[in-house]
Amino acid sequence: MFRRLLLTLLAPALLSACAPDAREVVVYSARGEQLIQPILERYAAQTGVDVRWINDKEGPLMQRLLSEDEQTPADLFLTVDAGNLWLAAENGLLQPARSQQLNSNIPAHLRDESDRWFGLSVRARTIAYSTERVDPEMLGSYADLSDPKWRGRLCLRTSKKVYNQSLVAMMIAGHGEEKTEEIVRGWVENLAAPVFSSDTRLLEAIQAGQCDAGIVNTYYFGRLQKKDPSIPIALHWPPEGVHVNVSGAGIVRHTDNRDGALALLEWLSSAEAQQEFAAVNLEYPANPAIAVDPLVAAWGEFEPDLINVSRAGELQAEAVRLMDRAGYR
Amino acid sequence: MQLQLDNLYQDYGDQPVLRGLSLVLESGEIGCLLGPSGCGKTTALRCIAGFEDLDQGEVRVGGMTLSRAGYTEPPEKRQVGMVFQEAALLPHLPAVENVAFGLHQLPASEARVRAEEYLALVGLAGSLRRYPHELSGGQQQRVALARALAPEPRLLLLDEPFANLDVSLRERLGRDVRDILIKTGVTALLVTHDQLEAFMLADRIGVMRNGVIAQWGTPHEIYHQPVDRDVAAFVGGGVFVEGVVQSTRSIAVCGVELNGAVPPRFPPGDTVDVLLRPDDVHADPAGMPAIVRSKVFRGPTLQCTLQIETGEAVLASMPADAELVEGQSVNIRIEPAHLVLFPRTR
Amino acid sequence: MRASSYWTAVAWLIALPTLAALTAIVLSLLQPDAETLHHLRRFVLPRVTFNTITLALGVAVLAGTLGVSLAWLTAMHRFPGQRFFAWALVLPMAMPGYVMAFVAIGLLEYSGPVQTLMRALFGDAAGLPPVRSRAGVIVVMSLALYPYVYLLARNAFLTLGAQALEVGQSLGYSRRQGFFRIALPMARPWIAGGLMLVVMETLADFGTVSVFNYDTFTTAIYSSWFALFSLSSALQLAFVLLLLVLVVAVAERRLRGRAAYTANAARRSVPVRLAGYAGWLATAFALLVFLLGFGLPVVQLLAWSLEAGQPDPRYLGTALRTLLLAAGSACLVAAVALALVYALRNAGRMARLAARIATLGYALPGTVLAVAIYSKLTAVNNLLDSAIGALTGNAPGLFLQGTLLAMLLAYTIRFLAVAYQPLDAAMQRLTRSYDESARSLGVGGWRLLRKVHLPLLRGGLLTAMLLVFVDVMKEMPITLMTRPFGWDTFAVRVYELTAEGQWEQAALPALFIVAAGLLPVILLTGAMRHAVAAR
Repeated sequence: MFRRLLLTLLAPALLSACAPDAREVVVYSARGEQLIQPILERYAAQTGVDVRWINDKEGPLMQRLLSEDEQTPADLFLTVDAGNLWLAAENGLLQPARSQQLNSNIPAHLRDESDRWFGLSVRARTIAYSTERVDPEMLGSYADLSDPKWRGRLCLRTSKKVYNQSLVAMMIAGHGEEKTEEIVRGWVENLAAPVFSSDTRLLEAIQAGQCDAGIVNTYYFGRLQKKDPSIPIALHWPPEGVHVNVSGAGIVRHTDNRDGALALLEWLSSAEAQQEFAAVNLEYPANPAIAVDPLVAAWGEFEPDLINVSRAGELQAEAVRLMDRAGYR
Repeated sequence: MQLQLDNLYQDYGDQPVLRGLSLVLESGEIGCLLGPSGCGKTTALRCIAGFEDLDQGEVRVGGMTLSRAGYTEPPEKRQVGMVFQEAALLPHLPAVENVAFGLHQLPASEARVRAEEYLALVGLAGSLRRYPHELSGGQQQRVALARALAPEPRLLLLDEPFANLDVSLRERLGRDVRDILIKTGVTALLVTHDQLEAFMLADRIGVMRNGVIAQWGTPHEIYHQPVDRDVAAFVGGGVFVEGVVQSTRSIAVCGVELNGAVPPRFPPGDTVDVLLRPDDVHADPAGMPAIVRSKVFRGPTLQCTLQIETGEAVLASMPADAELVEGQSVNIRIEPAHLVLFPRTR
Repeated sequence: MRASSYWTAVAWLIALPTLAALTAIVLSLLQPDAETLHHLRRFVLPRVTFNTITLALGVAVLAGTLGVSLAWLTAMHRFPGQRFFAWALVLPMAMPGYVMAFVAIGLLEYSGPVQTLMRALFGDAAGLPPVRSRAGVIVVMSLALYPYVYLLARNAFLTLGAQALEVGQSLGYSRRQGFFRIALPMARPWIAGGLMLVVMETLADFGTVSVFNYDTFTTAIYSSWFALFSLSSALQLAFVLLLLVLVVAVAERRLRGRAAYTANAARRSVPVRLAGYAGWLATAFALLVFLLGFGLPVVQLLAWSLEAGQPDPRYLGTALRTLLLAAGSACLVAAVALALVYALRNAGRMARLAARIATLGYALPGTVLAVAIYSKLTAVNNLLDSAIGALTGNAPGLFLQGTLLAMLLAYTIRFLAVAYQPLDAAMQRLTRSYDESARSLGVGGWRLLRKVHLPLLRGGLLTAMLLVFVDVMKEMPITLMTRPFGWDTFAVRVYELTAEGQWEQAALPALFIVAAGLLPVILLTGAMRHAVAAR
């Protein structure tokens, strides 16, 4: 009895040889499974296309694409952070998707100059502060957080998180390396506690009074605010431009279903998908025509940093070395 | 006296194991508890070592009470050495360190010297650095003996130390062990089910049965003057034949008259069982005829079952060169060194 | 002679997949990335080296102390709750280290309930030491890892036999001295085996140290690879890590020397009753470790999963697949490990080297190994593909990839060490005389294995299967990389949810890992009790 159960369960998996099927699109995704599952299922239901996906961290997924090379079953690569998208393109894992629809849906600074990848949602990394202990007048740019007046009041997330690597990379693009290193050193001196391993913990530390301000992705704040609308924390938008990053996707170079992948990518940039793609994680849609979630809208408008996000990828290694030098763990 | 056991009682669950065991061992004496398995001899040893608690009675070593009901001096405080059936050497230590293991009061260098001395004493001077698994069974037991002796215990206990060895090794080692024990002057108590081992090693033997000592005496006494039929049957071979008391000095057995002291409780005319050991029966051309019924080769001797004219069977040790065959006729003389008589039961 | 070379071949065959996976690491030495290396040497390596060594030492000492002392307590003593603790103290093993880390930080952080309460009661100066510190990581990892030592040491103590300690007593050592002078040295292969696993897992750990943001070799490997984009530097760091493990392993072998470890388990030791004060002290100690390592984290996870609301309806299928995978790989890995210890028993020194290599997979950071295995698998597959294509004119593509077979192979490479250590230790006690006596009775070959060796190795075999089972349930990087479509385990769920910081949602799958870990722990400790009692 048990043996038969085992066989029926194991046999397909042990022997499965996935034959390529034109009606099937395989997605390699480094974006949270729970964030893409509903939307991909909706696409499958609407079009009858069989969408399958594998989730993993971005690094291993890219290595996987590299080693599978021409034989890869993947059609679309989906990941967070422009740095990762840039790296995938740089490593020749993606192919250009020439599409009028994509170009009109996604603004230029949120996509690859050679159309190898397209941002699908925008995530803003900005300053969160305690409304109980911080006068918003005190706040300025990211650089201002290195001012000694923040000594013992600042909280940061670990420099190992790619979000911070991209932030610093974009600062290098804006201010140059020397100035940026000075700023980062200032941050480290102002730390109230060892760097945190998550933005949520960081926000909780601000709430508990361990520190007064920090740099976070807005959707982490959104989640806390959803649970506790009276949370005494607010977001500040640096006036010289808010650091934005994307989650995005590109067509895998060795896909055997280019049309299927392109169709899915175009659909993801469409009004219909954009709304949900961003809202499910309280992010901003990449397509500027789409309205943001009301909770997100309440945080106010901001000026994004308009330097193309792929600079974050180009300068990432430099940023990491800079943070190592500055003692930002 | 070095060891005194006074009326020991011990139960295992609701099963009585020791039922009033008593014995005394003088300093330098080698004693032995001999008995079949399950007679309580090992339990007695473990009570002396302190591994088991007593329900009643007292264990005294060197005049000090080590165990009584409600009190058991911990084994490690007793200065009582023990050699186990399996040598139980520590597998991660070479021989010399196994011996030095018990010498923790001494400085390391002294302990080592002493350990080497004792290994030399047991004849293993050349195997100091060998690990237990690199030694033979007999060598392992020698190390175990050296280890138990090296701390110079007040009393040495040996729990069936030769049981796992083959017979020829057992004899040689047995002789060596007695020499070593005598040389060191230690008081020792051995436990075994093997009478030859007991005879070979012990000054005094206690034959144990059902948790008590049935007879306590020298090997000679145990062999030649067993107190009852069971002791007689357990120690040494032999058969019981019918005899009729003639006088206080003689008894008629198998148609011959045997001379010897007849205990007064057997009046003349009484029918008794007479114990005939194999060595009580001798080949003698002038003796009575008998027929060889079976024989067992014992090296220097043949142990034969002989049927005599009266129809009774006796055991006899015959010279091996006699070249006897079954059914052959021989002449024998019955001449026991001691008369061992029991009331007739059959 | 012929049999011995046959067994050597078997050992190398088992080592082959690992060897292949490791070639990339060794080959990386040929392509130094000077710029990155310079940066690492100057700004990263001094700190992570110090961190890694202190962490490994600290965890080895603390987990070793906890594991051995608890094993000694529960194996050789009676105290209130002893029967419960005997198996319950294995349970923290089912708790992934990163989960325990998250719970510990959640509870003890400045913003956590404990410090908040203390501030409310005693004002601002809460006197707790910071949880996100070196000591904090060491404590959490030790609590998560001590069961490896506990399980193996307990097995050793139970089979030690009464006589070993009685010998000590007859030579003037108290039971306590006997512990240090006799039981501990005799249990050394077991304890060393457990410590090897603990150290290897500590060196390979990424999840726990990341939650603490404690930089080690592993995190340095990750950031070289994924942040500095220098794969060769990452692999070179991994190579140093491997060297470290080899040094530890060789040192252990050297220390053991010529000594052989056989059981004198003719009679089991009678447990000592700890009366009154001492008994309750033992209970308190066991309870404290149990609560910290298991009770509190479970309560926190329960609280979180209640907050999270409705469970995902797919969890039933995930549960079934997770259990199947874990059970299947437990059997497979234990079987391969058994073949390996057999090969060692019957072959020479070259086989021992093969065993060392074959068990290295456990010391590598999971992702490095996952990628190494995956790329080798692809290479082999491509080779097969073109061969079959040339022969039949119809190339099958990457047919190995994304099959359970590939996944099980990867697990075997990763967890062989886990199964190997307890089996190797058990084999030490299986003296040649068993074989010889059985052979003399005409029992040889498979029957010898089945009738003599397996019953005698049962304790070690069960320990091996238990360890692999629980480890597979917790494993993330290899599962992520090699699973076929739809074969998500609960560890994958935990990863996906925690990657975005959704700990409340992750609590339920984490709890399932723990609960599923309970099952074999209870079954196998029961079976082990019988196995030991039967000896």
